[in-house]
Amino acid sequence: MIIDSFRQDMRVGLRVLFKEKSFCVLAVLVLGLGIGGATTQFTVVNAIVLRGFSFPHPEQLMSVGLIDPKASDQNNNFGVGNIPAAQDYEDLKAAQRSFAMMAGYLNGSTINLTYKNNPQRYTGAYVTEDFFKIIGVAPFLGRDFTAEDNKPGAEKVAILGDEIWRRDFAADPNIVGQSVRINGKAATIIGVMPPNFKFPISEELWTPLYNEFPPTPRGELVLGANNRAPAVMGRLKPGITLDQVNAEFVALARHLADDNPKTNQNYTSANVQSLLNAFTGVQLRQIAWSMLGAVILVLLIACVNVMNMQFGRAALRAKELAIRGALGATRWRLVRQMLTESLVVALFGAVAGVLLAYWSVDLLARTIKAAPFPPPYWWQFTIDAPVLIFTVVITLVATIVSGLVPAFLSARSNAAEIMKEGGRGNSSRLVNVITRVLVVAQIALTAALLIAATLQIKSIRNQTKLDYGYDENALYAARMALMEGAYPSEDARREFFKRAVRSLRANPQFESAAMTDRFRMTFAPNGQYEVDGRNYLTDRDRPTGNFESVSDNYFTTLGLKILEGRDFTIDDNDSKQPVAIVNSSFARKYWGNQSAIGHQVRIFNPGKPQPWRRIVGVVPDTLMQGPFDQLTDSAGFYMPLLGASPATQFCTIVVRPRAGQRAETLGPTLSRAVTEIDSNLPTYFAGTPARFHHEILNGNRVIATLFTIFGVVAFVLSAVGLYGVMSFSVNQRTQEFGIRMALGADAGRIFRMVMTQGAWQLAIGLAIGAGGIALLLGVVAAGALKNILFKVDALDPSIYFAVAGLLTLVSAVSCFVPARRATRVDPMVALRYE
Amino acid sequence: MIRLHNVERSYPLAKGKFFYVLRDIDIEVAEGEFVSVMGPSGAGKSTLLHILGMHDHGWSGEYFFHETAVHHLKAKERAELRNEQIGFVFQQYHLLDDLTVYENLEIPLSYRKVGRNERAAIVADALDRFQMVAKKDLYPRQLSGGQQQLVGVARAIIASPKLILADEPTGNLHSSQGQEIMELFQKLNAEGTTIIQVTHSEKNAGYGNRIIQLRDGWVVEANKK
Repeated sequence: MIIDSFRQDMRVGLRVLFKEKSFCVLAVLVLGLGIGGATTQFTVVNAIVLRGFSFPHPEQLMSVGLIDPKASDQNNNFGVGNIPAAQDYEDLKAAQRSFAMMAGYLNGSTINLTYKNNPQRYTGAYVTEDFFKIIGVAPFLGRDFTAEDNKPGAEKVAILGDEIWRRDFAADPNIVGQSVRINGKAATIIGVMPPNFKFPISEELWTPLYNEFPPTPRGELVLGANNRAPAVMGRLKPGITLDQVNAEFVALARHLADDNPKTNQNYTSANVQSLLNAFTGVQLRQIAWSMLGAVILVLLIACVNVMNMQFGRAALRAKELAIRGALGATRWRLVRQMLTESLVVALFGAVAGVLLAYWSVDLLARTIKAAPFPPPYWWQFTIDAPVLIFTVVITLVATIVSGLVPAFLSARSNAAEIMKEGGRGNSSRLVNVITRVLVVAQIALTAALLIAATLQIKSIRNQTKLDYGYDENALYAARMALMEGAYPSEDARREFFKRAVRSLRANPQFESAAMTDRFRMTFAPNGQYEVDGRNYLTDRDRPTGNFESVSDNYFTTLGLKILEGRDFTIDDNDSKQPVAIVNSSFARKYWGNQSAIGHQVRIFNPGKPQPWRRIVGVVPDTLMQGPFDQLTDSAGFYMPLLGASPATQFCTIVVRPRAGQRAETLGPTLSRAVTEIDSNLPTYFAGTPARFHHEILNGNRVIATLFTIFGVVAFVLSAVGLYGVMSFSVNQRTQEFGIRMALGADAGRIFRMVMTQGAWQLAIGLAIGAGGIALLLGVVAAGALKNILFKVDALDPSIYFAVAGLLTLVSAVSCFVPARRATRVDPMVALRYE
Repeated sequence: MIRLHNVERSYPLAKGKFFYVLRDIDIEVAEGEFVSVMGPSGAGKSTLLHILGMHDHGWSGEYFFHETAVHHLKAKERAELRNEQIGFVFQQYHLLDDLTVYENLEIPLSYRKVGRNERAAIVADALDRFQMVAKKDLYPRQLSGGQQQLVGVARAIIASPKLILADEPTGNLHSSQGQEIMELFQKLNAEGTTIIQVTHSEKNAGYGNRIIQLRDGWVVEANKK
């Protein structure tokens, strides 16, 4: 019976909707936009936060880190914690009881592999022997690592990823057992992982950790990319809760701090959290959820719009419904009829939305894939069953939100009254109140969304407009890694660096050449330091800043002048006289107008105190901290790279072209020049700094673009909605305006009346929307915003006023046309009953 | 007070033809008269009332209100004249649903830019005169039909118009309520207000002193009682 009447409602609904094409098309478009946006964003949230790993019992996989409770979020790796040295991992592993297995790994690292005399640089992971066993995945060709493989001095082995096995090894089924060179040393391929496996992030091959990097004693100074301390994960024993494992590791952290006060005294706590959360990071999770919140706001605005349209339709169809009621339809039956029509509209909207989502998800996936830092391979942006279930749910919600109230109010109208009044429609006070409240709600939602979007866009714009302190288009840079096999000692590396700069400077294609350890010419190492003559009561009193190891001629290559003192020389050597050059912010911060020359500075490393460095020069500021760090100030210093101790393994070559040549064309020349120095040394991350900076901010630009789209869609929907409601309201009040005019109101007064109504709705909507978002961003989520917004005040009045101004403008325009129409009401027509 | 000469009202039809609602209307209404306009449905009664009330501008002919040639006035000037001289009573009462009785009475005064204190005094006087003080805070839907029309009449006279135009003022009322309203009109007329009403009821027409009969847009009879 119910199915039969549903079918009948559906048939009538389709007929009515096809008759009302303009309503149908507009409502489907509006809902399609809302549902499409929500489906797309849920696909992102599903990929990043919800779906997770496809390993057996992924909920048992945990990340482990030590925490300094008094340090900043940033220094505690945003809650994930740090493992200061490999020995900490070993001690924790030996003492703990909660995990069935633990593993350490260095992911996203460089692994140079030479196969058939072809050196290639891969992104890979250095892992301990249980790495694959913990996640429950085994090579599909060959064997897994053993404890023996991981030992320092053991024969080098590697396991290939399926992708490079197919691409670079021609999917050779006999690859297992073949000889290659890994980081300059003879090695054997022992296995190939299954397809679509790149754990933990986007690794192309894996090799044992300690075999490459034997654990060093605690307290050794490690800078930037030279850090060998592994990340740590474990698989919980069945029945162990997160609280239990955290309690155990906090206790273990305290033991470590007591036993090793020089290096671990601040790490008195620990954090064990789901591996998925640790990989995703609180910042990204917040952004993903906040974007889902934003699109759900857009969907709500879309629903409010359709609800308003439904009110308009209900008013026009009041007589039809009254007749149905008079013929015996119950109120519930009428509600069902109207709701069925809403469902049909929402279903069409859902189809349009899913099609839109397929297109936008594909676009998003391609954009993210093209980013310089590939996303975790387990982020699969696909519209799967959970996403479609979400779409069904929001479609039903959209049906109910947009259709229930109009349906209910239409069905409860007094049939006799409506028929007696000659089909003037349902002008109940409640409908008027509801439509006005809806406009207020729509303005409030739009104001909130526009403010949030503008803050986000301004934040990302701040990042893209950063001044790096030099002409980023005038240089070309490439990264290289001097691994243990080919360069087993620090002297060998220092020797290579000197040879390389001399050779590059002799190349007629380059006007100048230099080296730095700054990663992709964007991120310099960061840590605590000490300045002579300052008293530091505790470790935490030491300031945090950036320090970069650079060769001589680096500043000239960047086009910077030495402001005071001298540049480094090729002979500056830490073992003779450690020296430093500070930037002007640093000099100003510590010595004001006095000269910084002759003062001393050093990196703070309590485990192994560093020598003081005499300041020999002052140079202009460059953006050493990169485009994301807003806590560290711009005061930083430089150390000589060629004579550094310890000598870095990773460095970036920077060259400036001869006059008349464009920097971006130098790639092949630089690659050839490095090959001439060492034919087994691949270069990677090559390009102009401008390109690096552009690529690094690509993800943020995607977010900014999405927020712009959300904002524009919400804005357009609001404008349409506002116009629709004002228009509907004026139609509903035609007779009232006629009466008022008959009683003496002139056109100006009627115009002002409609505009005032719009103004009140605008004012209340703005107050609720802007006030709500200010409260949320400025008070409730202020802490989280520090991680999300870059150099933007969440309560920046200019943004709030700009949004208020924009919405005022659109409201004025939206009200103007209906208000003008109201002034043209012919009282004679409005009052006619003959 | 009112003189119409050769007033016609038509609507265009296809092929350049016209449909005439009123034809060659020549009527005069003196100050202090109580005139009833009668005729079958479609005769043009309400159209005539709207022309007299200066809501309708699409007519031709001459219309003098006292010595003012309404046919030469611009829309704004007509509105000013209307606000000054004319009050309206409607069959459907046409009270504003969202306003209380007090506010409904106040509205014509506010449109005539009467000051707040003066408005309050005039409305209080009207409420007292129509014995509606106790109902001043009620909304129209809380009143009976007769009470609503009482408010409609009170609203029509609150700005002291010289002329009241009433379109079927008792059409929605039962007989005793209708009688009450007509007696009120008679009283107002006796106090000097000119009244023109459209009615189907011979009985209600009997309260006035002249009947104008319309048929198919023509005046067929305009006799004094």
